[in-house]
Amino acid sequence: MCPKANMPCRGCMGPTKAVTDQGASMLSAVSSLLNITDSESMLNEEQIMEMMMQVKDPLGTFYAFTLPKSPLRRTVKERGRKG
Amino acid sequence: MAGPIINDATVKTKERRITIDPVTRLEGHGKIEIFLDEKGDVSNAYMQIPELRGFERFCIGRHVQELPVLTNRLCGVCPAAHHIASTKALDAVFNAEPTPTAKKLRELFYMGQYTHSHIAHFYALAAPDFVLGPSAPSNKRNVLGVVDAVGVPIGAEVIKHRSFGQKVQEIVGGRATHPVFGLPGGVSKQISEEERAQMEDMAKSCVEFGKFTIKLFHDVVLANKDYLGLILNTDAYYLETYYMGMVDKNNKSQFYDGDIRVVDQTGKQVVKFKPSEYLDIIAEHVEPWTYMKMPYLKSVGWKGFVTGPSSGIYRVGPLGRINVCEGYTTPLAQAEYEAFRKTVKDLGVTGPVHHTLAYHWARVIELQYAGERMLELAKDKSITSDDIRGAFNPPKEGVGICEAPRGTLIHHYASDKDGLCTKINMIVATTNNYAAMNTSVVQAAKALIHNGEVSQGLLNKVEMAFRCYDPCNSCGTHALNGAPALQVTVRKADGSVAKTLRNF
Repeated sequence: MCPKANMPCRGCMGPTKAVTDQGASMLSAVSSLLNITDSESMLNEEQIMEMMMQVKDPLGTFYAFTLPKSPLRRTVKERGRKG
Repeated sequence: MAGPIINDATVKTKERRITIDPVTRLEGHGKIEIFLDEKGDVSNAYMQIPELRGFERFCIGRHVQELPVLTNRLCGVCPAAHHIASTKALDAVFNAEPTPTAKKLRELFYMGQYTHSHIAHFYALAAPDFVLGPSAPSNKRNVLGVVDAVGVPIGAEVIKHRSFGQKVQEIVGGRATHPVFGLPGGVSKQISEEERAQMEDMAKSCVEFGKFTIKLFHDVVLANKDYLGLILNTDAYYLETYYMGMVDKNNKSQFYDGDIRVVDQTGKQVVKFKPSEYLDIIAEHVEPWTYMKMPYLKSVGWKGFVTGPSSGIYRVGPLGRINVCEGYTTPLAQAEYEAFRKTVKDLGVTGPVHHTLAYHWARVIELQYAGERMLELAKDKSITSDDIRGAFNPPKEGVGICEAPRGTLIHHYASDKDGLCTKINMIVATTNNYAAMNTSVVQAAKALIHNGEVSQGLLNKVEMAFRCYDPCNSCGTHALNGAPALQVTVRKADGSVAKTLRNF
């Protein structure tokens, strides 16, 4: 499909069964590129923000075809609990 | 095969309101409301488009280079048209001149789109009215009924050549539906020699199929005096409007690139403009009873659902294009264009053809042109070059126009310095035709329904008045500036209106 035409896969067929929230998974993947050690961050909060702000339009990019399946803006209830 | 059923028995209705919902054999949704006066004659009619999309809102803030992929989701029939208009808009936004190879590949891909789309409309959506007849039982008046009537071998040829159009789009564009190859200044995929040869073979077959379709149109439609009578019925299917379409420097019809020409009711050129000038030419009118806007010529003005030189209503699509052009660049399409002009000249028409049902004839001529142009481009061995991307610059603002199968298609974007979309405006083929379509429905209803006498066949003949435009209401209702139109009517206990609130 798209990769055959030298274009990236945008996930338009929706998330796979293994993924609960595709956008969060992508942000997690991107964050793994940040310079973080096992014990503590080598970056301060401001530097992390600056780095993450390089990702323009994260909602449109990472959730383009998967937002309806995402738990974002939904209520998660504990099983068996009313209300 | 039994002959087509042109007329059926009417019944007298006491109803003052006739609703056709949903209307059928179009892309998207729509309904027609016909209001009768006390004598049972038509006082007015409306073609309402109850869909809501919203692309012009949710595309704001997206990466502008993603718009060819996002906006092509406007439609499942003509995504290629949106992809091409969008990619051309990106050429302008990024001030990027596509390479010659990229231009050829885009146009070749686009001829695949025309082949698929025009076959789909003529054979699946329009043919039931002509092969089976406008008054044939509705359970037969569909594509399966057509295949049943003409036979499986012809049906198989139809499906095969539509699939060729899709295959060409898939090879060049990456996907048959919702393509991805358009980039500012070029395309993403180089074509191999094997793929070129495969497309050349398919294009040769499409040229032959174009000939077959034109012959079929002559044999089934033009040779039938009842159909000719319908086409020439100036009471039901005739609007004297302006026309708009794309042409090259010799005023030959073009689909991928060129200037946009507008002619008046006599065929005289009103204006020829570049994409970047469209806002000087076109304005949009909004009616409270429908989600689709109604563009009109700014210099003439909106005068309501009336035609003639004082009304800015114009028509696009196959009839618009054939009326603004002075022929085609390929021999078989040009020959049929000359036959078309000669036929109408013999009927006393020397300027534009205002007969609404002539859309169908223009469409089959364009199917022939698309096949021939596809073959010209597929035979050109230079299309396998790796020179598929041109240089580009920081993004700003730009407009891209192409001729969608249903008419002139305009995409206009602006970008911030990060490449995120800050403004998007689209004037879609079907939207251009909406005012004329509604006027056509009113005209047909008034001409065909009298004294409350109606029938399924008569109502289908009213539908034929819009169907020939091949409307795509999914595309046309792409925007509503944010919120749904809402009207709240507060009534007193006796039913009279106390207060009306609305947000449009």
